[in-house]
Amino acid sequence: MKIGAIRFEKKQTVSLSRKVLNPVIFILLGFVLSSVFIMANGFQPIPVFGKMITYSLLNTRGLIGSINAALPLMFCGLSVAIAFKMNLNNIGAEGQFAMGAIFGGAFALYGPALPAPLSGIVMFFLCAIGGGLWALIAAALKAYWNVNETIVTLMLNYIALLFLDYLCYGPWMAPKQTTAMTVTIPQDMYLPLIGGTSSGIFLAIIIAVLLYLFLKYTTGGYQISVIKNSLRTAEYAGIPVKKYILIVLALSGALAGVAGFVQVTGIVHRVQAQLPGGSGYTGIVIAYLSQCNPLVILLVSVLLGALQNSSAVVQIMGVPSQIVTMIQGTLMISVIAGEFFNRYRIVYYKADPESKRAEQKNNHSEQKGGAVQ
Amino acid sequence: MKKKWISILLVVVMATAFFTGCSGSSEPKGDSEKGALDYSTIKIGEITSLVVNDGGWCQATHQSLLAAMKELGIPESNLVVIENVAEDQTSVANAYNALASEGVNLIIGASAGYATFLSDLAASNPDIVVAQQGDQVPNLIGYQIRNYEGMFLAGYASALMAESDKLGFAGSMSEASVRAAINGYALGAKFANPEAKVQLVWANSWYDVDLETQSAKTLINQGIKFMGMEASSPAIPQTCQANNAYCIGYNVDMHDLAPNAVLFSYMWNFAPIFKDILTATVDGTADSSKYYYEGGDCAQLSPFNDAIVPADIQEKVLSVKAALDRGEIQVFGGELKDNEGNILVADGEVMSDEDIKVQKFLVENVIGSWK
Repeated sequence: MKIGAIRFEKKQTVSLSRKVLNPVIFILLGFVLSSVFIMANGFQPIPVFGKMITYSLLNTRGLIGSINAALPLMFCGLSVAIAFKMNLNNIGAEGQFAMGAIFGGAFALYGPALPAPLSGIVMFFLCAIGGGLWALIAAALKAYWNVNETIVTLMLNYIALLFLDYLCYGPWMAPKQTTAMTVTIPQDMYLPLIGGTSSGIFLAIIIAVLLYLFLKYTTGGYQISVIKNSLRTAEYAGIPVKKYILIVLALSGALAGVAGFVQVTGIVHRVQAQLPGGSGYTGIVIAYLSQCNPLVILLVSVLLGALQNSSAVVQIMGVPSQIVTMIQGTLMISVIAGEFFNRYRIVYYKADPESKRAEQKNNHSEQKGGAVQ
Repeated sequence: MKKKWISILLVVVMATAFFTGCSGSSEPKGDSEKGALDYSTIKIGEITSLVVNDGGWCQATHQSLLAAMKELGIPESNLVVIENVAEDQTSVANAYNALASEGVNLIIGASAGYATFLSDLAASNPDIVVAQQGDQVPNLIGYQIRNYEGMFLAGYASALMAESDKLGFAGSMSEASVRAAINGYALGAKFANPEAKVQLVWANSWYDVDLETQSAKTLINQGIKFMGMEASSPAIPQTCQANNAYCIGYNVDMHDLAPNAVLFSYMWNFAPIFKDILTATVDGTADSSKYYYEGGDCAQLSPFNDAIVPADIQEKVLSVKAALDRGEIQVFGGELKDNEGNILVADGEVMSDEDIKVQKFLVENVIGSWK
C-alpha cells in the first residue's frame, strides 16, 4: 500500500509581492545556514554579514568595486537570458566573451590607428562580432542539423579559452612579462571612469532597456515567446524558427562578446588569459534568478558582484578564505533553491485514483509546454 | 567609622598606584619617540594566490613575513591576509580596495601575476606602500630571490652524493625563474663533477600531484637516483622515498614529507627583504622604484638530513655556500654555453642580472628543452 508522496507542481501565476518577498526570505535563510559555519569557526555571524553588506553595498569604495565586478556579469546574464527566452541553452557565454576580447583586442593592439571615439566604436562592434560568430557556429548546427546547442556551446568554450591562452602566453604576450597578458591598449580607447565606476555601466543600462523593449513590445519579441511556449504553434503560424535560432544565438553571443569589450576597455586595459574568469557561467545563474528579465539582470548582477567583492573584507575580519567561499556558496544555493520554490509548489498527495488523474493531467500540460528540442 | 577611613585610604592608595602605573608605562613610549621607531601601529596586508599553509610558495612567503614582523616586534594581529586571490583584475582590485579601506600601510602581493594590476591600483593611492614579488614594475617595490644560488648548492650536493654522472630535475612550468633554478642546479652539479648531466622533465603545471609523480617516476625509471625539483606538491619527495631515490626539497623544509629521501631543502627566505621593506614603510623612506634581487641568506638551505648526507659532504656544501656569499663563485660566470652549442657568456665575464632574470636557455649539461 502506498502511503503517499511529494511532488512538485508548476505554478501558473506568481504574485509580484511573492516574487519580491521570496528571494528576501531565502537570502535570510542563506544567512542562517551559513551562520552555522561561521559559528563553528568561532566567529559571530551578525558582524560578518554586517561587514559584507556595509562594505560591498554601502561603502563608496566597496560599491564601486561591486559595480565594476558586476559589469561583465551583466552582459553575460543578458546573453544567456536572451537565448533562454527561446529555450536555447547558451552555456557558451564564457567562450563568446573570450572571442569578443580576441577580436576586439586584435584590432586595439594590431589594427589601424583610428581617431578616438571611432576606434572605440569599431572595437565595440568587433567584440560583438567575435562573440556573435562564435555562437553562430552552435546556432547553425542547431538550426540545420538539430545538434544540441548546450553541448556545442559548452565545447566551444574550451576552444575559445585555450585559443585566448595561446595568444596571451604566445604571440601576444607582452615582452619582459611573466604573466599571460598583452601590452595595454592605446590610452584613447579606455572607457572613461566616472568617480571610479566604469562608464560601461551606461552601456549595460542602455542595452538592457533596449532588450527589454524588444522582448516586450516588438513582433520579434512576441514571436520569440511563441517559439518558447510551443515550437509547433510557431511553425504552424509560419514563424521562421531556423532564422530565429540563428539570430537569437548570434545576438546572445554578441552580448557576451560585449562583456569582453567593457572588461578590456573599461577595467583591465589589456587582453589577459583569465579575462572571462567564470563570468559566462555566473551569467547562467543570473539569467535564471532574474527570470530572464533584462532589468532585473542588472540588479542581480550587482548583488552577485557585491557577493564576490565581499570576500576580501570578510577575510580581513580573520574568517578563513575557505569559510568565505562556503558562505558565498550557501547564499547562492539558498537563493537558487528559493527561485525554484517561486516557480513550483510542493504538493503532498496520497496514492489514490484521484491523484493519478491529476498526475496524468499534469504530464499532459508538461508536454504542451515543450521545448525547442 | 574606622572601616570607612580604611576604605577611603585604600581608594587613595589604589588611585595613586594606578596613576603612577600609567605614567610608568608611558615612559617607554617617550623613548620610542626619541630614538627607535614605533612599529606597533603599522598595518600590513598580504595577498596570496593559495592559502598560507599550502606547504609551498605561499607558506614560505607567509612564514618569512611573520619572521620579519617578529624580529621588529610587530604583533601578529597587525597582519591581515587575503587568500585565494586569483590573478585577474577584479579579484586583485577587490582585495586591494578592501585592504585600503581597512587602512593598511603596506600591501604585499605574493604572486607575480598581481604585478600589473597592483601597479595600476597603487598609482591611484600613493599613501599605501605596495611590495610585489617578481619583476620590477612601476609604482611597486619589487622583490625576487636569486633562487639559482640555492639550486647551485642543491646540484652540487646531488652530484657529490651520486655514483653515476646522471642526475634528474623535475620542473614545473618553463618560466624564467624556473629555468634559472634548473640551470643553477646543473651548474652546481658540474662544479662538483665536470661530467655531470642533468635530465630534465617538465610537469607543465605549477601544482599537480599526478603529473609531478609521473615526472619523478620517469626520472627514476631511467636509473636516476638523485634529483632536484622546482615543483610545489609533496609528490616528488614521496615518490623518491617509495623508490629509494633522493631529492632536494623545495619552497619549504620538506624533510617530514619524506625523511628517507630529502637530503635537505631549498627554502625561500623573504624575511630579510620584508624586514627592510617594513622598516622603510615605518620610517617613511619607502621608495617604489626600489628593487630587491637577493641571494645569500634569502636563498636559504634547511638543516641537512644527517641520516643520509655524510658530514664531509655537508662541510663541502657549506664551504661552497660561503664562497657564493662572498662572491667568489659566480653561478652564471663564463665561459658558459647553452645546450644548443651557443656561447652565452665569454670567459672571464659574468652574466648581467637583467639577462639572468629573463633567461631563455638551458646550460650545456642539461638534457631537455625549455621551449
